[in-house]
Amino acid sequence: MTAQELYRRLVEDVIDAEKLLVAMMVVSSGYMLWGTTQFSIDRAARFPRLVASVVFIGSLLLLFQAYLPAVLRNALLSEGAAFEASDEFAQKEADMEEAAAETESTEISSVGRPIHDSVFTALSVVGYALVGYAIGLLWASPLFVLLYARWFRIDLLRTVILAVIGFGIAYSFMIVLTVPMDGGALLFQDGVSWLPR
Amino acid sequence: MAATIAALTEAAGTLFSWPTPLWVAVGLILGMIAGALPGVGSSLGMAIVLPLTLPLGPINALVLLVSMYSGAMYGGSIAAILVNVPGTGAAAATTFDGYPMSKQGRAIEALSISATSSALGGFLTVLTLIAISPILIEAVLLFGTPEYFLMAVLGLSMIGVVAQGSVVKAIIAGAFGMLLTTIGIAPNSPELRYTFGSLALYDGIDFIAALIGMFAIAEMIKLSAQTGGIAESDIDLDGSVFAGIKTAISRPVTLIKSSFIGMFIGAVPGSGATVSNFISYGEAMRSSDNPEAFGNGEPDGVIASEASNNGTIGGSLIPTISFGIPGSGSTAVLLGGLLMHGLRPGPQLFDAELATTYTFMLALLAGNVFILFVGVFIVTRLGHLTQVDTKYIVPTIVVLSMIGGYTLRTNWVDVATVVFLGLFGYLMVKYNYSVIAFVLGVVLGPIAEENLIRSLQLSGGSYDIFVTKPLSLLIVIAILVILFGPVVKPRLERLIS
Repeated sequence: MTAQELYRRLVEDVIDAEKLLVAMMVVSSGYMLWGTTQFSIDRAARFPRLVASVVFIGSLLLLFQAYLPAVLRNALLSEGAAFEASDEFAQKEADMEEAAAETESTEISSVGRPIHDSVFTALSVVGYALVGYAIGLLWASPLFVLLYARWFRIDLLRTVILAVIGFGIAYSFMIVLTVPMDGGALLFQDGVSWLPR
Repeated sequence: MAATIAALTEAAGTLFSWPTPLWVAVGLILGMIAGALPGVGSSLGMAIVLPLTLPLGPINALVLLVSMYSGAMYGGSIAAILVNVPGTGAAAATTFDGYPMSKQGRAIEALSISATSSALGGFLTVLTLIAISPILIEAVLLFGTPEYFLMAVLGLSMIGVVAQGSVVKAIIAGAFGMLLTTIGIAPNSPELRYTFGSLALYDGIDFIAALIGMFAIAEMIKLSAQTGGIAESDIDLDGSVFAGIKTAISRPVTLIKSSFIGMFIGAVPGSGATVSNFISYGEAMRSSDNPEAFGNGEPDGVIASEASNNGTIGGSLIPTISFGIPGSGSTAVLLGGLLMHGLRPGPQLFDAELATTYTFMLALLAGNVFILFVGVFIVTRLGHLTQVDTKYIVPTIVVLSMIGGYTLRTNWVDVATVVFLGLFGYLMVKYNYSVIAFVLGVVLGPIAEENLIRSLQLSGGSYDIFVTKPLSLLIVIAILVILFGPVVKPRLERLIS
């Protein structure tokens, strides 16, 4: 099995992202529900206990919906949709979606990369935040733009223009709102003195 | 009445004093750009501009935000008409007739119809909102602390019913949003909740960072996966501006009816302009003498769609400013702006801050005149925006979002919130969990908790306070009907039949 096939299997068959989402809500609401028993002031526990119970019970039911009786499962999945579109409108929308689907590629990435475009964007956003914390958002912003643009095969001139725009946005926020963004936890810890302010 | 007139006069004075008109114009132009750019739209545009309003005073900040909201509603139609891709969900129905008109060589006419209908629809409904505001003031003053808590619950329940998809999923999403707001120091007590001993978490999760994450980052992750970006337009900008204006004005029934459908639906939390858009398009088609023409370049289709989405703004402001329940994603961001600038929805906005409330209503009125002017005469320039490839939009919006998140409080917790909720929001959208319900939960959480605690303090800890007064009892009954209605109704129908 090639690395590409392994990735595709992992993303499309092994990892159920919806279950992951619901499990995240079960775990966090369960922890927060337990946390309310540790508060010393009862008044402060009421609201989190109430909403954590709703999330915990609801998400637990969603997580195990396959094992629930049909009546409960139907109630769980019952749709509100108080305002429904007319049949003609729904048909027109379906036609448009069909036309869009016909032009869609079945490839993993629109630019011939080995992972999904959305996975790359998500990972690069996480990386951007981490690098921003380490060296300062002012420097991390053009780096993120450079990486993103190269990944999506944007030509060099446009890549440079986009990176300059990224730096410009960060620099303008820094100057206008007087927020220090030129220093990070690892590099330029006190900012840089030579930058015009 | 005298107080209302005095507040209106003061509001008009403020609106026309420099630099407020500048912020109206800036907001409208930014809104039109956000609306016309594929994948951006009003909520996202407003969310990334929100941190930038920090140095502005509350009036200018709110004027900027409402003008952006208004501009984006119109801007969405530009992409819908020229490239058959609605800039926002609120312009989905505009594509059905707007794009065929463009293909028939009537692009300018369609854009002019859209500008005129948007401007008149918005103008009429905001004027109505101002006219009914004295009644609204009386109604709002009837609500006390228990009723405000119940209204927050009602708002969330309504979203469950109105939003497409599972009611339970929407309620869980809303409750999870509320749960996240309990992180940090508890209101009216020194208890620290879920801070893990970290000072950075003492002030909890910033709701604006949450809005940026949910609207901007989640949307950009989704947009980056769309293959090829926006299609190249093969439309020539032909047609007559004045024919478009004349067409829109000569069909007052469709225009007025669609505007007020938009206003009514906008007032229902969670429904927003996307819903009002398809309802009024359907109604225009149903009542037309020539329904077969719809979908083939019928101007009534564009009028209905565009008058309704701008009409939604006036309606959605009613629950937002009266009870703090936003009707849509954009009004959730607007509510975020209100709270960020120290304004609480409810009695305060109709009493001490009445002039501020009227200022942004008047800004909307003036903005609609501006939309008409810009839409008719300058829109051909904005048409080029629809050609911007999403590959260039995504990194720019991500940078704006991350920097905007950091500048809120220079706290890395906010950047982490933007990133985490961005990823979380992407999964929510993908698996049909209501993002609006989640956002509403985040915005309403602190208001709901404060009112719950205060109500229980008033009653000495008894929950009876929520059912002893007729108004609160009525709201409780409404919540129960909304929550259990979809489950009970089919059984009742079966029993009866």
